[in-house]
Amino acid sequence: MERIVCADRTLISLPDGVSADIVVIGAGPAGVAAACAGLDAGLSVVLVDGGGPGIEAVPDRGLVEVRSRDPEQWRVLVGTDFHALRGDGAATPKLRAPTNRHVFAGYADAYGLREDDFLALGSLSGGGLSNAWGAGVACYDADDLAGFPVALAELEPSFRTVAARIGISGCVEPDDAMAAFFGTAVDVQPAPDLNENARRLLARYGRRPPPGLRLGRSRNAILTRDHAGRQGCNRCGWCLWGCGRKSIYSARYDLERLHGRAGFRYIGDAFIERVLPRSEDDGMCRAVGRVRSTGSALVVRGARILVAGGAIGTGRIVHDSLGRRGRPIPLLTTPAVGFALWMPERFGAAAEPQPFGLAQLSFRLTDPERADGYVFGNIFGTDALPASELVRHVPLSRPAAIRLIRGLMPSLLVANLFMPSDHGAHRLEIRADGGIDVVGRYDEDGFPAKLARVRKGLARAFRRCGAVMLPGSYKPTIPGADVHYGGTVPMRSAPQVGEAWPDGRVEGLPGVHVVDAAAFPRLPAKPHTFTMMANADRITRLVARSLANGDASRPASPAPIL
Amino acid sequence: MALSSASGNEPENGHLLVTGAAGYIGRVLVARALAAGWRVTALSRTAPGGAAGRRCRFIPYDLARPIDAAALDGAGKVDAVVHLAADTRIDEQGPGLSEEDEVAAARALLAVASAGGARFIFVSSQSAGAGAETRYSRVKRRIEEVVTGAGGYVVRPGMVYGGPQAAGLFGILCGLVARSPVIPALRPAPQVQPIHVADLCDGMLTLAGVSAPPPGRYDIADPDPVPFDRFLAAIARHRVRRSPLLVPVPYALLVAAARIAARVPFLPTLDLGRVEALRRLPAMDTRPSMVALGLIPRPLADGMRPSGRSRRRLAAEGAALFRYLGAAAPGKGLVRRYVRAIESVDDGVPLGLPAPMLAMPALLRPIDAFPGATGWLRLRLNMAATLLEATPAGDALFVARRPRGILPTAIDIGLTLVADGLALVLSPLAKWVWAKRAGPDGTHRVR
Repeated sequence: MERIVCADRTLISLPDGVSADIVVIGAGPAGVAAACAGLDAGLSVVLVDGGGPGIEAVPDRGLVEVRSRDPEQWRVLVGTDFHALRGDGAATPKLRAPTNRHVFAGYADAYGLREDDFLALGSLSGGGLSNAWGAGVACYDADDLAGFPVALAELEPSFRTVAARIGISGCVEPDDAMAAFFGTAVDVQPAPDLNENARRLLARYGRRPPPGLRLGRSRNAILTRDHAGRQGCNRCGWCLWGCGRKSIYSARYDLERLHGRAGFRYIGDAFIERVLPRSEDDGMCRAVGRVRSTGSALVVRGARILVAGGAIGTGRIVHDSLGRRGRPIPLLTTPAVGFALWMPERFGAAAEPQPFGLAQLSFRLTDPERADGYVFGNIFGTDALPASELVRHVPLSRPAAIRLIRGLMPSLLVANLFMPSDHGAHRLEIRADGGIDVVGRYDEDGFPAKLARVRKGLARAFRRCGAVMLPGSYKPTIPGADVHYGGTVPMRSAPQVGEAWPDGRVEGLPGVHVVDAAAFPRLPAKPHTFTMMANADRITRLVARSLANGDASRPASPAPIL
Repeated sequence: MALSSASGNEPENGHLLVTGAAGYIGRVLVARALAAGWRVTALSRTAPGGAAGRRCRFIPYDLARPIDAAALDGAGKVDAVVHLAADTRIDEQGPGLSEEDEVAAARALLAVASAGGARFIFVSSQSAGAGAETRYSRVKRRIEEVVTGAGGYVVRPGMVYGGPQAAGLFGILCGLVARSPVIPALRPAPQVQPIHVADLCDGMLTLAGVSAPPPGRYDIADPDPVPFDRFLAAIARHRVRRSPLLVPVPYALLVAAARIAARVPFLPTLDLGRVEALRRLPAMDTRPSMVALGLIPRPLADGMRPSGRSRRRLAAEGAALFRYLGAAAPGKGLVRRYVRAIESVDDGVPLGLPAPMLAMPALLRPIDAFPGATGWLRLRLNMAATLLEATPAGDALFVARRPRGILPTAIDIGLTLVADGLALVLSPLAKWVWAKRAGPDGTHRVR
């Protein structure tokens, strides 16, 4: 047994620890990227995670067939526990999809989360939030990396490594207006076919692109060809509920593949509360927590600890380990808006026979006030959504809303849009009891004006492409509903305590690195998940190099995996 | 949102001792405690019968003989005591216990509980708050003082009713209403605050359980009083299924009649004691207690049924909502799912739609079309819409699987918008009708 004095000076007894070269906390996309990179570099890796179940199975038959014929469809679509009826006000349909019920479960309780005007989602599942993500993939470019102490060239090898591992589809042809935006340095599979509305919108855009708007094929982590034991998309339409063919990437699939690799060990059912920096005695760092099912103490030792608990979880682990309870910690999000586009030329048509739930088209709109500023968004078909998800937003009587949506839906597209994190003043604070308060606040001056400006700009641009932004449909979501969190332990070239060095090392916690979006000093409007995975890969390579260079802290022989 | 907080208790809840276990409330308490995982020891003059009675340990107990610790030898450690046993006579007439005997019995029980470290819950009466009109309320108040002084719990229930077997005061009222051709409606009307016996028992089990609020007095009843004659009418309509005539009787007339009856030989004497006690019942602000215990009283119309719950009314509501949304003939399975959904996701309480709306669901439209009007209805309609869409018929209603052409689609949307416009014109009237749904059957909601 080891006895360890924690940051708050309590003395705890721990069972003999498991140890490895690197301990990765969190099996989401960043943690799995770090684990893969560590194993590739020949390090032994212990991955510690909540280990909760992922998404549930969806039917083999296609969504349209099930919906139009199967009297028992409610078991999947509503859930035998009526999950879809809970959370009437939930910001995203994903929270109502019964098959996702385990992905978000238990997170708020585990962290003692209290939200004030903020939606803080997280996951204790193996695979983390990638179990239910939108799968948008983009490489940050040099402009996006403004404020990062990291050069694009340092990330590029990692972009290629991660892309090859997870499998991406989209379009890299230069005639696609978004290809350069998403990055052309990575291999992509052909994009899935567009549905009719998206095809027409893109064709009209191609004939006469409105100024300031770039519109092109989306880049998603969805396979159109088989890859790494996963199947290509067959347009079954179940995307929102979970892909039965594993076409849409989830870190869970890589986690499953990691189990066979030498030097890898997985500890599920764990909740890490704090990390202890490298000890003078044995040169090891420690991750300290408990086993979720039994409550017993857990300690895992590593020459390095890589924290990938998600920006909120990582923020809590790092700042609590530094004894920084009660201090406000900035939290970044990309403010999100939803809206609907109506294509009059398609009015009266039938619903798409082969629905697709991920983004089909993506756009970038230059902010007229700032030439280097932009907003980013995705356009989706409505065919893979339950109509009642749209009906609930229509301010008419329910029968009228149903008829209106039935009439409009085949000619409707829905879109989201994200803005850079500059407009938020959200903060996270660890309470004296160890729980987390998250407070969401948008910048009161610039933000409403920008929202209005962007709405006008988008409405004008899309009108020129033959699509009408439905009046009243442009709705900002509450802070955090984008589920793009970051910035709680930002990388700086000269970090203060609680910030990180360019290699993710936390100032004040020797041996501890942050590898998820907590390390991002800013979030551009562009989806950050893929760059986050690449950054985890980059940091882990640096860690491996430092360990291999005879770093004094490394044990003489590789630490055994117990 | 569960109606019953007892369902929140873990199985293996501990050991509960219940006095008066064979009485009206006692029988229900024992059954619900056993269902919630308590081990129960019943203390009463006669053993509680039925299936529940067989599953608990019985120790003969009489208020006339104060308990001593030896009586509980072998019963094991007790976690909580609910003291229900009482002499229910309202005055000193007839054979029975003296006031002192009853207080002494409570003291003895409290001493046994304290010695064993058990929580003590005394079931008092709404009348204990009054200025001691009767022997009954005087005894209750004296015991309350003793229990409160010892750091125990005091429960003041309102008008207890319902349950599979009508007994106690509720049983007497049921008997009267079942036989009487008229129901006297006293004017001014005395007010009662009903509480279903199962809701009351769930509240007491919460007090006995691990997540109990702090000791003190808990008033358990519907926060909104109901005129006594409306309560009797609900018994008539929903419990004994009769429709006797409601006859307004001025109280002054009753008093005069009593005086006359007392003077005229051979006429039965009219004892106004109980009526008087009823009239003087102090109103209780039960909201803080109900919130602390997580109790939502069920509507009278439901609670009056022996099952205590009206799935039939929820089913009728579900069928009406589905028809309103556009389902020509909602299937049985779909309606059953609605009932189960409302019971498991919502509070299981019917909205109390007026009969015309159940028969002609289109009448809901003026309320539904009114922007921002009735959140409760909208919530249920959204649930019904989600359930309906997840059926083949619902899919056809919600999604245009075949092309329909511009003109038919435009006409369809145009007509439905016109209908909403008309509905908006009618909405003030509909809202008035809606407000009236807190009607004579007592289907009102507390929130």
